[in-house]
Amino acid sequence: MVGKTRSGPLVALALGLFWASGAVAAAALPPVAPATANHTRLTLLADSAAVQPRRAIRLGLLFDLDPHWHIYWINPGDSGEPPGVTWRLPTGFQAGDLEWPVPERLSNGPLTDYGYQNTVLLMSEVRVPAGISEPKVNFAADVHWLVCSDVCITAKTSVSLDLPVQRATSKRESRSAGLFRAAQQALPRSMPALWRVTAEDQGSTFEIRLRTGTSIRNASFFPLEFNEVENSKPQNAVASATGVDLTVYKSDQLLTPIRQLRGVMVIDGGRAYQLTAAVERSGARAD
Amino acid sequence: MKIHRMVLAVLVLVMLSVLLQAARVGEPAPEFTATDSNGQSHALSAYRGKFVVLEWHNRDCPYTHKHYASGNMERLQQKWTARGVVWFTVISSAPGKQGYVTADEENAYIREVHAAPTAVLLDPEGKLGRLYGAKTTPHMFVIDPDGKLVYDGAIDDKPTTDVSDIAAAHNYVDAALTAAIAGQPVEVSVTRPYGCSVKYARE
Repeated sequence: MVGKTRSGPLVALALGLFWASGAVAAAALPPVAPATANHTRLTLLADSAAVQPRRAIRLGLLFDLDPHWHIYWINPGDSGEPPGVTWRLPTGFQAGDLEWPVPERLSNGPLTDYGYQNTVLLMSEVRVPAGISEPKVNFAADVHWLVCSDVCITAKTSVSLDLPVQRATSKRESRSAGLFRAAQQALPRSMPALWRVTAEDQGSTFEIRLRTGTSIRNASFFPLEFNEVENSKPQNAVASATGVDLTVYKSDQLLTPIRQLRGVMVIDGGRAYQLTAAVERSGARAD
Repeated sequence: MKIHRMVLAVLVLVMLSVLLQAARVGEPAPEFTATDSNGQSHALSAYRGKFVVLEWHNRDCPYTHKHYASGNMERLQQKWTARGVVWFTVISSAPGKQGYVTADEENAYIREVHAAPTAVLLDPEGKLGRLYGAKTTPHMFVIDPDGKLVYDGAIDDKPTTDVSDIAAAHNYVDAALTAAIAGQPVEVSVTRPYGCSVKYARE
C-alpha cells in the first residue's frame, strides 16, 4: 500500500530551495509575509514575477503547518473539511478550480482522513485578459480552513499579492516557480488514453482493474466521492501481467448501486492518476 | 466430529459478521446498553415503539459548537422530545481527549446551555461509537419504533462552522423525523456526516 504522499518531501525540498534562493533575491523583490492563523502560515504566491496580457499564470496558496497539524484533501475522508477560497481578482481575470495534490492517509482510531501535513501548495490557474490598463495588479484570496491535530480549529484569513504588468513577450518566472513545478509534479494526471480501468461490484467490495500494459505491484486508491469506499479498511493490490487488481471495501453507507467510481490511484513509483472506473456487476458468482 | 466443528466454525463466523456489522439504514439498528450522566442504564430495546435519535457530541468541537451556541441543537431536542422522541446525546471522547467530560461536568453543561436530550450517554471507551460507526461530531442517527435505522449522517446540508449558515440550512434530522412520524418514507436517509473526528481511545 502506498500510504505516504510523494508531495510532502518534494514540496519541502522545493520550499528549502525557495527560501535559499529567496535569500539571494530578497533585495530585488518585495517580501511576501505569510498570514499566520491557528498553527498555519499562509502565503499567496505566483509562478510568474509579472503579468502579461493573455498569458495564464498560476496562483498558489502555500500552507505551512505546525508539526503534527494537518489540513484536508477535497474529499476529507471520515471527518474534516477541505479549505475553501474566494478569489478577489482584477476585472477580466478568472481563477480555475483549486488543484489538489495526492493526499496522505491520516489514521485516527477507527477513522481515516485524507489530508496534508507540513507544507502543501494548492494551486489555481488564472486566465489573464487581453487588456490591462494598470501598471500593476492585485490578487487577493479570502481563505478559510480547518486545521486539526488531536483537536480541530477553524481558521480564516485574507492574503494578497501584487504583480507588475509587463508587455514583454518573455515569461519571467517568480522565485517560487520551482515550488510550483514540484507541486505540479505531485498532482494526479489524467489517465493515458490507452489505459483501461473498470470496477467490478463484488457485493461488499469493488475490484478496480487497471490495465496499463505493464505489471504493477503497488496501488492505492483515494475515492473522490464520500460514502462509496470504506476509508479505514485495507486495500489489497494483486499484480497482473498488464496492470493491477485492487480490491477496496465498499462503504457501509453505500445503499444503492453506483455507475462509476471516481478517484485517484497511486501506483508504483508514486505516480498518481485520476480514474473514472465504470462499475460492472459481478458475473454469476454465488457470493 | 469434524463436520460438527466446521459447522460450529461457520456459525461463529456468521455470528461474528453480524456482530461486526455496522449500522446500516434500512436494517435493524445495533442493540446497545449504555450508562447516562445520571448513572441510569439504557437499553435500546427498551425503547421499541418510540423513535430514537442518537447525536454524537463534543462540546469543544467547532462544528458542535455552531449548533449549540446558536441554540439550533437545543431547539431540535426540545421540539422532538416534546413529541415523544427519545433523544440520546452520546459522548465517545476518550479520557484526556477533547470533549471528554465527567458525569457532573456534563450535567452542569446541559443545565447551562438548556439542552434537552432525554439523556446523555457516556461512552469513554468508544464502544457505542464504534458499534454505530460514528465518525464526526455531530453525527446523527434516527431509529424508528421497530428498531430499524432510518437516517444516518449529517445534521444539515451546510458543512461549516459558521452560525450564519444555519438559517438557510436544510435540517436532515428534522426532515427525517417529520416524514417518518407521518408514516412517509425518509427522502434523504444517508448523508455525509460532517465535523471533527470523534476523539476515540486508541485501539
